[in-house]
Amino acid sequence: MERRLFLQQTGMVAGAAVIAPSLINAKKKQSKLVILHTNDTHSNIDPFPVNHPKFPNMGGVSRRAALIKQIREQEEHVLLLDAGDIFQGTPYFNKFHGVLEMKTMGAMNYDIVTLGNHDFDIGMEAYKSALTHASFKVVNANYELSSTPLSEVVLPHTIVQKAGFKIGVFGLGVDLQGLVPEENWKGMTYQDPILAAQKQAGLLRKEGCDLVICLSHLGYEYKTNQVSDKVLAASTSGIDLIIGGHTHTFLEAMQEFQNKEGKPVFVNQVGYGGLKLGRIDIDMTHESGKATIASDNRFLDENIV
Amino acid sequence: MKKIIVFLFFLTGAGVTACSYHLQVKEAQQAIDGSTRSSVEMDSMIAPYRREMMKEFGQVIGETTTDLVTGRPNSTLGFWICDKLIAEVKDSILFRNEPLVAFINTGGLRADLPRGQITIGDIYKVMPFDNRIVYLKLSTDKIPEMEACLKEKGGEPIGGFSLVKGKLEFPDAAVKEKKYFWVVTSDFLADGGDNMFFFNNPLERLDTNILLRDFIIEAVKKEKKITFFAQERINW
Repeated sequence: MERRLFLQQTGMVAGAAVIAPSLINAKKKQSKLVILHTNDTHSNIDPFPVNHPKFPNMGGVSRRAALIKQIREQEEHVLLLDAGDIFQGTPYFNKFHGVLEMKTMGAMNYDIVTLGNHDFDIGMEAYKSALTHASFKVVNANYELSSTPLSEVVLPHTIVQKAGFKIGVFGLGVDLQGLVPEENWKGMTYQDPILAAQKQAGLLRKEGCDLVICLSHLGYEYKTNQVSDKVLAASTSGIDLIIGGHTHTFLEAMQEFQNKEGKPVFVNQVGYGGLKLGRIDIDMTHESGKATIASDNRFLDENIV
Repeated sequence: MKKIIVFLFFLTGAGVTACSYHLQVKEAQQAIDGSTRSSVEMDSMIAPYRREMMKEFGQVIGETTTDLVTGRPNSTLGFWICDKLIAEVKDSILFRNEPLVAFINTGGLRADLPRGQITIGDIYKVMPFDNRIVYLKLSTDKIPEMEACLKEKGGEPIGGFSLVKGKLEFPDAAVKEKKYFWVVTSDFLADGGDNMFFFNNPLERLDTNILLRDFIIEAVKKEKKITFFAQERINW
């Protein structure tokens, strides 16, 4: 049986309402996967200061952990991801070299992360050493790392089984030239992200993945011709979802693009600093031949406790 | 108060193609703010680290009465730092008879300095990198490249000159005559960081051992109470 999933986003056709389970035929088998994600958390352990002009008293690892825990209590199948730049931005990083960032993310049970440019700021050995405090996987498919300290700890992709889905997750990183002092990434070779992505997507489809997710630290969009998530989405096939980072873009909502075969690819990014948690729910209702879809989209506003 | 807004999206009789599954993706971004509860386990994990961090970085070194913020094209924080970088040396033997400007990067200023007290930790958030101060002597031939870069990036923190309708204007008339000027910047940019290639092959380069972060800390300590309103320096 063909297990390739087609992600489809519907228009906003309905107004506010309570969840109406009657819309879903109880006989149908239902699976639900909840993807939670962050990017560019940048060592923000504490909330932003109360006098911060843009984000007063927002963010903080403790609240993120509580929110994730609350969602885990409600949802059976949660996949927790990060799109890179875990490091650099507060004195916690200068003082403890990434240990606390990794410890807290480990405690929140992150599943998979990718490498951001700032994750190289104190060198690859330091990243590797901090990583011993966490148990999540690190994926990147366009940094050739075989002759570096990261060769054994970073994989091009990983496959997880969740909610009856076979999910392939691979990572992409930005060119470090001009971003990170070269001695910090000595031995690494940067490879074309589009080619790497196409190779990974093809491979993961061949492995029978229902869902292919790219954790990208390329950036959402550029005025120049630099490769971005938008470019990546349009230039490849086989990717369903791109969880992005690097440009600190606060997307109001996940964006839909067409891949090179005209099929939908979804891109999301949630700013920076751990100010927001992205959430993507994937519902699957299936019966032979025909599908009826009903789903809800919950926006949890600032008053939720 | 608990308030959940539920949007119901539904689609019936969706066109089914060759696949056996149809999927719908729904998405929400959740703000993590003051009304989100905290995690006791996480708080206790962080507490000893916070104590140790605060011992070293919690010291108040001054205050600002105006928000100093990053951003493009005009940044109060960036302009304040640039002005301090120039003021520090403009009366020195090296630079008192030389045109001197400042040019740093938005990407290197990682946080704002909100109105209120300033701690050492706040400056680490602004400038977490160990970048050092560098002086470069540049030919005026580099000016078009600088203008193009400022346009492409949408502005960067500068001081001692301005970009008026896309053209750099030097208040120091000697620049034209001398056909060069000095720029104070960071070693990161001088070494090709952020693709600011006009810093490549300068006429002269003076490296220092001064961390930009330490310089900012000292500048805050010296000024104690900052009040800074910047004129627009960059427009097209």
